[in-house]
Amino acid sequence: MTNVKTADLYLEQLPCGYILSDKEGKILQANTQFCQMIGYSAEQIIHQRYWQDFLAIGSKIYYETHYAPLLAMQGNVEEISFEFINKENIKIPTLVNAKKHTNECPNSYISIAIFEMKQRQIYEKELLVEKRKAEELANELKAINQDLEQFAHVISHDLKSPLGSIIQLTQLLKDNLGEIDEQSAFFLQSIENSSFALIDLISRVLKYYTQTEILNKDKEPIEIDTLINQIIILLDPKKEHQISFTNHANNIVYLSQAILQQLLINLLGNAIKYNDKPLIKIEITLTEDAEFYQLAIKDNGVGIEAKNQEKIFRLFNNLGKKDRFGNYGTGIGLPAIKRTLQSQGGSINVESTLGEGSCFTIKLKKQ
Amino acid sequence: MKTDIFLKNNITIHNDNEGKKPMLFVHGYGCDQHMWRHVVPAFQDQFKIILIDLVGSGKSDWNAYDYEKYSHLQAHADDIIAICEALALSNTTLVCHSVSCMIGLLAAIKKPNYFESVLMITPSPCYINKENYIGGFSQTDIDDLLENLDSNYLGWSSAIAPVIMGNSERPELANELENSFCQNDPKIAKHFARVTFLGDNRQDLAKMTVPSLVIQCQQDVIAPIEVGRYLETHLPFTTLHIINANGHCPHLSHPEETINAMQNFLNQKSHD
Repeated sequence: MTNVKTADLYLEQLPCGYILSDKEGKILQANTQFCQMIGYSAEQIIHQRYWQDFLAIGSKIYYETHYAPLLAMQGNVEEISFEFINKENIKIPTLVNAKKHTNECPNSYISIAIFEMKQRQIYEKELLVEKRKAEELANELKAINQDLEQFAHVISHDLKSPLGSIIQLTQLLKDNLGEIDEQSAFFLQSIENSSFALIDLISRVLKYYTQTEILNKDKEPIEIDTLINQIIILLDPKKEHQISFTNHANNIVYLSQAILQQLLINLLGNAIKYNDKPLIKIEITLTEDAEFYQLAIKDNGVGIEAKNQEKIFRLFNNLGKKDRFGNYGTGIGLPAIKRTLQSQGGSINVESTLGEGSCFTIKLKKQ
Repeated sequence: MKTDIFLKNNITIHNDNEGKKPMLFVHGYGCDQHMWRHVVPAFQDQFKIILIDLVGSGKSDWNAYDYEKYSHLQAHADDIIAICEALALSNTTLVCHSVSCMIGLLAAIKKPNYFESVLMITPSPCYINKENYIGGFSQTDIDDLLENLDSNYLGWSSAIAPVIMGNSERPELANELENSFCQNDPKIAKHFARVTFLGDNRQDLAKMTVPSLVIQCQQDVIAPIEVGRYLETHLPFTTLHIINANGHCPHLSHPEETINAMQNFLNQKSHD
């Protein structure tokens, strides 16, 4: 008897609400903190009420669909968020732990501890609001991006067909006119050349917006030495330049061949094009760590000023520079590479000194 | 194809190959097939037992949860029909709880010859109060539930299972329950809550031709006694059995009463 009373005293001192209930939730005992929380006296609720009667309706449904089944099946539940409604009709957010008594009367009694969490709930609500905002924003951005891609695609296509007509008509005109003076011939040729240049530009724009999907191909084992040597021969068939490849990684790499080819052709092409030295020197180095392959392409080209090193990865930014053949870049190649690499969990960076050369470092994710 | 459907609905079968009639159990909102553990043993001598998880619940294939498709309970009903066909079940006794009762109803309306009877535990054709109909809830009540779900799922990472302490009564259960029981993807759980609680299948009741049992508890917040009475009046070929139990999951809280009600009905049917 003394023990029971001592136990009751302890329950009164607990820093949380406490209820003892039967398996249906009927209140058999409740400490003062719980009674004060809901605004009823012990006599009004003990043996009179089910504790779930004091829950807000959403919590009542959660009680029936989650809490009661979980408690019946596992014998305890923890950290269930319930809202109580007190006598003044004010909602009180709580966290509830409950445990079936296993000793003397199995399944008959349940101890329930109730912790108020007003502050925490305010914070939780703020978090939820922010989360919803972020989700909405992400959805909006996704939609905008899709529109943009669609737009670029349509525009590129629509521009291409009239350009095709211009080229064809120019060629017909040349044939029809036969012998013409030198200046007119030059004008006609310029129309043709410009049209071809424009078609090329449009194709690249088109490619920029579609290649991320196209190049998302499966990774496959690639013999890297063979691949790189093939590309070197493709870009420097007469062996006019000094291009070397040093491999510190395994000769068989697991990567997407399409992506690898695209970025090598682009970067080696740039290294050759933007070079003012009598002998073009390019060093390609491949290394690996647990997570990444790292490919470095170092040239002795024109170099890039520090302030422009960021710009070269932005779309349509050709820095207004002509290459060694007198052509302007399109400002698409590097941004396209960056986009592709980022979609694969990789990256591209450049270190460069104006007049001395550049080194592009690419990281390709292994998994 | 057969394995696909096994994965899709996490089908488990007890006592196969004994030529017994099938009894297919379908759990309600919020849980999974483990709910049936107290009830199944009473029927496994007599029936071939098939347990499933609805798509989006328990250990079903969550990737198969197409939000648009599963915006109507008919999609779940079609899954049940597909299961009956894949397993070549005939004369099936369908045992459903809560929202699944309407799923079972829709399945039995579409393919009445597949089912011998449908046993419904705490069913409700419509949870929201309408004109001349007491469902028990208002629209704002359901919003309150969705808010509560948000709050209860806040602390959840999809990787964290509910903490399950050792079950000293039946320690063998602890492992089996871990990581699965009532562990649902928060986004799916909210969607399914909306589909469940905002649904209205009252118009479908009259189309039912398969005999059914409605097990109603005396006090049930989710399916009040008025709902049981409504079903008794509007569902053809049904028997209402009000059992001496409270709450929405009598098969967990009062398994004996629930089993008795089921057995009574099945015995009576076999004497018909």
